[in-house]
Amino acid sequence: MASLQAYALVGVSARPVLVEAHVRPGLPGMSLVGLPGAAVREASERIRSGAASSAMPLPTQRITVNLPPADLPKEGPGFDLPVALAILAASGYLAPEQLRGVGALGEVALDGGVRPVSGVLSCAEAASQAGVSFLLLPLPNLAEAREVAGAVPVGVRCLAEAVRAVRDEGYRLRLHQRGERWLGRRESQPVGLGPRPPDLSDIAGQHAAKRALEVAAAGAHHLLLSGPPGAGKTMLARRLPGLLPSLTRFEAIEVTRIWSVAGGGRSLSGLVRERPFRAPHHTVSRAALVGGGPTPRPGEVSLAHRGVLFLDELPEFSRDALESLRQPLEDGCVVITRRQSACVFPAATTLIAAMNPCPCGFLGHPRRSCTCTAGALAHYNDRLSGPLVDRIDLQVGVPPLEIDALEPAVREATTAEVRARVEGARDFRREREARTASSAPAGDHPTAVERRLCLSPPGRRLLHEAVAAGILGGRGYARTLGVARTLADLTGSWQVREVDVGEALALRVG
Amino acid sequence: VGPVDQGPLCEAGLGLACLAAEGSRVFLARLADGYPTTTLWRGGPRELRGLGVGRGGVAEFLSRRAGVSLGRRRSEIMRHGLTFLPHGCPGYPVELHQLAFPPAGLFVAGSPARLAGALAGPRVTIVGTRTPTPYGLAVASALARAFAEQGVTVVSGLALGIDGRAHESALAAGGSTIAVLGTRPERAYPAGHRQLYERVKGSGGVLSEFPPGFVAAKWTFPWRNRLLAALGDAVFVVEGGPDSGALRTADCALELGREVFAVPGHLDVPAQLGCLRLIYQGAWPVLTAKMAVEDFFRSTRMARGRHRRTAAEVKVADAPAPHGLRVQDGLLSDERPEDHLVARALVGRVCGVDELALATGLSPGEASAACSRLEVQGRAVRAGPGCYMLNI
Repeated sequence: MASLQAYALVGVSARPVLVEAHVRPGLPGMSLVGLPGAAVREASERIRSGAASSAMPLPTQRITVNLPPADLPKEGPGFDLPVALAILAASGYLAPEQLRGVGALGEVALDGGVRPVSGVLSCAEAASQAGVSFLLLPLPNLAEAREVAGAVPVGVRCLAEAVRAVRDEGYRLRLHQRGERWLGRRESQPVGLGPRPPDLSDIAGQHAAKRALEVAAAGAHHLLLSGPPGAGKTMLARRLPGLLPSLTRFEAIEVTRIWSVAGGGRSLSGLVRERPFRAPHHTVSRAALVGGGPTPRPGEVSLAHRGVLFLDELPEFSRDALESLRQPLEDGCVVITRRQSACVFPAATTLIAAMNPCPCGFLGHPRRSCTCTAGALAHYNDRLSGPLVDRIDLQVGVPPLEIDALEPAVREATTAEVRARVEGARDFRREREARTASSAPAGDHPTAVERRLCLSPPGRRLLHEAVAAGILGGRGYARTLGVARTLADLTGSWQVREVDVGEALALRVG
Repeated sequence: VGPVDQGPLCEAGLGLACLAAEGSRVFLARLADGYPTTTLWRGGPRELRGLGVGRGGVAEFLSRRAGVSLGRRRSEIMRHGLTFLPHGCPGYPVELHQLAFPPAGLFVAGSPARLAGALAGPRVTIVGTRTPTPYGLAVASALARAFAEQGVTVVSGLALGIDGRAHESALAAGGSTIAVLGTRPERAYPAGHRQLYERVKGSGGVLSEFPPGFVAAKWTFPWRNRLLAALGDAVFVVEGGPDSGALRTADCALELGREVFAVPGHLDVPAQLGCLRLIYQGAWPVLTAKMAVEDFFRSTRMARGRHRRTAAEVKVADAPAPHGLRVQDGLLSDERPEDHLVARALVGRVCGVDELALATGLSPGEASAACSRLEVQGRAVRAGPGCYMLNI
């Protein structure tokens, strides 16, 4: 009997699993036990062919493979390589004690090659925690695994290389050096999730909307853009990821973990360094938006973790899908509960929603009247009312562009300039919060919150007048105060001034 | 008097109202000629033909009349908590007798006593398009508020847009308001106005000439407009396209000799062209809400005589100046320079923050802060996200 370590994905994290193989006389055949999924069960055929192609034919005997713990479901093709190694050791190609403390993952091809798999970062983390001496994995996945301290990743291209690496320590070292050379060649290519985000200075005019983007980026506020078709809502939204500060290493690992799990076998070339931007179409299902499935997989809101989730044509989304976004937007994570376990997918994202003022787009237009029927309008607004919009802090109109605004009269601020301001505001906020942490009153009472956020007396007067005038309700009061604080952070002001409150009022939702 | 009287007047009115809803409206014209409902309801073929209706029309009328189940209608009225005011009964609004086709009766949702109270005082009809511009909505609010504050009941059609806003503003100002529906009386139409329906019901009441359970058709809404015209002492058209239902109401009002007021609009805004046409035809233009209320009282008191103010009579204080612009020139002592700049830039238009910043030279942040201050002071209103206009 021989055994080694493999990894089962649970949500975005991995758990170590033992692979035990036993060969005994009997009718030739292979049985896999321990809750293997469909892809794991099919491993037997791939391994049999792959081993034969590598000049290590499997014995014509009874082979039993067990995957303890037996109550944890195992999914995906990543079990091919560990199962193959365990069987080869059990049938005498390897000494079983050489597999002690070895971890492996990878898909075996019929010609004996090893193909990349998804979720490598999480597996490498699990391997490092479990204290394996080295981790065998497909060469294309090496970049991800190397980001984890502790695990010693060895990239292999085929089953024969893997067997030799287990046997021979010197060969392992050579493979390691080959991996470093290979990564060095790849690092000359840019690392990212897609084409570079376009620049803010490409957009002429729309200063109010740009300002709202800046505020959303500085305070991580969710934003609603409303305006007629063709006004540039989508163009604006696409520029938000570039305004956010670059990912810290910790954030980058979080994002990479999700993308690696959801990547569907696509190998990432190292850590994701850019903030993700996800724009699901409005026909997206609930499960695709927040995650789900029999073995839970992350949805769009998790793929947009630490980045931007853009919902164009917000009222066209199904009510079910929109309702399901409430909890992730509030808690910054998605909890998916299954019979056997509950998965937590991180989902700290900035939401940008865009909508027309009405189905035809001209409601509230100063000169044109809207041609929508009353029923269509009521239906449209019905979609919006409710808890999702309560989570949105900012709303800004994107007016149709006048033709003279398209002429470049003034120099527009670039993404880099605005990002510098946003980073400044975030730094200032951290410093302010650290300094006021000891002296500020705790609790959610309005007076305590106002003192904690350093609301100036004139600002307080304006805010309270707005409540008295019926412009703000209770929820609107708290959201406006939060936005005003972000505006003050952007100018580096300790106090929330009257002008901040006034501008926040103009940006309120509703 | 119970919700449904058992007397012959009520029986005839109810029967004829149901027949009229089914399409036999010709006979309503005979009510205007002075024939009581009982004659029409009880009359045989010979008497009916004597009214000048053709043989076919009478036969159809008689066969439909036989199909009306008054008992069922009465129980429906009771079940929905309505009151029926038949033609000829004391509670029936006298103004409706002026119509060429007076309704055979009115179904009332709400308190008959309150309705009687509202009908005893001055009333104004405020109507307009269902797809208004922000300007139209603001003017409707200002007019309804001004009338409500002077104790004038606001009559309108509960529709979306101008109508709904007129009811809401009258209620918000503590005034009384009456809605006239072109649909069944027991249910709000449009359904989105369910809450407003309940509030109007608690005020002057909701009226309809159609029986409970009646399914509205395209003709019922313009047909209802003659009641709107008749029930107001004057008709205000706030906004309406060149073939809007609001213009039909104005035409009915002219036929009845009511004064018509129209809110002047822009030449290039389709929703305001109808009003411009009315003004061209001689309707009173609305300059300010205050002046409109004064003109309303003058014109309704002055026995239909045309009375326009001379130029000298239009005092400076009455001059058209939006409420939001407190001074024409120069600064008030407590006013900030930015607020003044923004208020001036807002004159006569709905403006986004960007445009304001461009017009005033302020930064978008300062401009939006100034808008918020004006809004808190009640001098400006938000017409949309990041979009402001002066309060009228």
